[in-house]
Amino acid sequence: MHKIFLRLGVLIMTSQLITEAYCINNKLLNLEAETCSSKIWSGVHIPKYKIKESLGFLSDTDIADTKLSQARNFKSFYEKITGQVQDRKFLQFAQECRNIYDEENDLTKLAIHLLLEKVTEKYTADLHKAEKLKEIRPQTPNNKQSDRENIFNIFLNADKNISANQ
Amino acid sequence: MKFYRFIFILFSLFLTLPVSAMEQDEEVIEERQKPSRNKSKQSLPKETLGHKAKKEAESSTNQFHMKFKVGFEFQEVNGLCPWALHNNNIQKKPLFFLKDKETKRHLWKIVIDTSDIEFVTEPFSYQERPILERGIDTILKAFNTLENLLNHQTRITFEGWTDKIEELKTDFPFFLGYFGTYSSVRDEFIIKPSSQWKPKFAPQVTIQHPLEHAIPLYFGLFGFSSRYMLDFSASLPCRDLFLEAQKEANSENFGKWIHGYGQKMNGLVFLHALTLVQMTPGEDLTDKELLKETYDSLTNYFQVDAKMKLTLMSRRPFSSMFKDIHTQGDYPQYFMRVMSLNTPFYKIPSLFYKTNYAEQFYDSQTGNVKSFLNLLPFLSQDFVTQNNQILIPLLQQGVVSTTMLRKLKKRVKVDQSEPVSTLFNKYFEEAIKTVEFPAKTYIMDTNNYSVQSIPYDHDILSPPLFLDFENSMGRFKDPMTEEEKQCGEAIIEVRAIRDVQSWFLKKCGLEPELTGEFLTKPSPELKVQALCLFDFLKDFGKPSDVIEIYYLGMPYALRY
Repeated sequence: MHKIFLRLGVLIMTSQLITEAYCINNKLLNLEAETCSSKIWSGVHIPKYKIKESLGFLSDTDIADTKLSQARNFKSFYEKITGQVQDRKFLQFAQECRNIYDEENDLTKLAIHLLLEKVTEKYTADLHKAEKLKEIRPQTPNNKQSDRENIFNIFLNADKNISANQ
Repeated sequence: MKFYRFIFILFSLFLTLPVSAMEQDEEVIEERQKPSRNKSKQSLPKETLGHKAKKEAESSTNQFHMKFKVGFEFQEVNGLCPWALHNNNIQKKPLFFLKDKETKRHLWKIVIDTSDIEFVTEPFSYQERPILERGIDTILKAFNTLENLLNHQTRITFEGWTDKIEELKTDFPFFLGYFGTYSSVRDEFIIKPSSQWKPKFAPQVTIQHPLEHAIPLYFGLFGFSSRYMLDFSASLPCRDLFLEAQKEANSENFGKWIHGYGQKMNGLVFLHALTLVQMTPGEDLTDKELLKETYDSLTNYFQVDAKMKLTLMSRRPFSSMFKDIHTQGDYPQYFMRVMSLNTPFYKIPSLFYKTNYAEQFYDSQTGNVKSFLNLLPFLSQDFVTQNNQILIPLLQQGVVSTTMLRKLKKRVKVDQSEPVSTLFNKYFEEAIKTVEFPAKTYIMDTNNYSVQSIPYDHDILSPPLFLDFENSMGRFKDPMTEEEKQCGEAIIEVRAIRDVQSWFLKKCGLEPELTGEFLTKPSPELKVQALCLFDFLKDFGKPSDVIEIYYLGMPYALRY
């Protein structure tokens, strides 16, 4: 699983280096991606029109050819991430992005690529964090029962006294 | 039956909370009146704001409610002032403000944050709903004025905008006042970013509330299936014991948990632990990746400090809140004991030394960034060789990060005795200890990068080490008066407010799909949402809330 996250990381970082040369509102892109990622995580469906509304971070300024070539890489990017992130909620979102890509103009194609890329970065980072938390579960410190009871009793009256020697 | 009796007792306890007043977050620099072009022609409606507020306060005397204050920030995120980006003399300085004419109450002010225009409201207490309403109304009016201007002429000066706001006085009697910094921007342009510009707010709210509400309130706002629960789960004192109690399904025993989590001290531990958790990087991140994180933050978001990572940021020092609780005993020991019963937290103490944040330095005269390339000879050679490509642009931009400071050569000492890296090795321990025993913090001499300790009355996360003392983390350092304390000990900036989750939204009668978009649209919905939040806070803590949060929501949220 970790290798998947690492590979995705490299894929996304490479792509970011390309986009840095262009004039997009990264702050807004980040906000939109956080919103999508957060909704996916919470299981809130994001309809197509909402995804389209979130593409305002890319304006109608001239688009360099190299930038458009990045948009043309969308399909291979899509294949890679959907092969690696086996999460139903995420895949549903990625599919909607692909539908938009297939139907829309060059500007929107590029915007949807950038958005999916950023959402993937954020979503997989959270998945990674959740995986890590699961891993540390077996290593719980083994407090003695009497100690646990003692802590609990102090916890119940912590506004009065938090001393261990009550 | 016993359970309901317990809930009743809890309910009664809440009723005995003291009544409140509010802390001012005032930054008045210079106030002057701009000659007005239009005189107010309309009188106030018969039932005035002040009258409404008084009536509401009176009618609520015998009702259950949480005492609180809430303030809002609405930052338009499309970069309408690109020229302001690297001018620190303008950043976050108040430009002008709007004051309600009848109540003489300041409602909001305008600042520039990075290249964005931001509305910052005053904090409104639980008795001031009509004033909040007026505040949001006037923000929407002022912003819509700007939007209309930009839709007609693509750019407008600040003066052009404020002149138009003044014209609104015919509908809303108010006073527009100007701070000293306004004169440096009055002729600067606010620029429409593109023909398809759709205004969008990045909102934040700051809530002052009693510490005993911290745990249920924030689980209620962000629970119970959101990504925030990963960090919340890792920050809950005695989390493992709480989960074990679920298995017993004993309502009487479970009531004790509600009582325990309703202790102010445990609210403080939760907020403190959450800050530590969110400031701790992933264990597999290398120094190179941490530097890149800083570089990306700088280039994409123009921010590099620690608060970027926080969902909830305490505006008061943890040490001040601890003092206000007046408990007896040893905070560092208690913190470690209750957090030892939280499995997801257990790696935090050993990883915290890698906390990664930075300060960007500016020339105080020009307001431009100040290069720190002269730091290079003080950094270990290996570190410089391996990270040259990111280090140089960061230092040129005046950015010095904790990852760099950890890599200072051993000859760079703290108090001429130990290497600076040792400071980071004991950072976690000090962050806990100084909540009860504040003693010192550290400053850096930027001529030779030596570090000196200085006496300090607050914990060392307020602000985190090496950040400017004006940093917003733990900024409210003055002791609260008894009157101010009545709205609670905690003043928390809820940085992720737009991501409030379905439990809260349903309670407010709002659509769950609004998560991620709460308070983001400058439209009449914004007012509805702001008032929903206000009403939610006012009613928060009802027995039904307690049952739903502790019995149903939290056990699900803590599965991570």
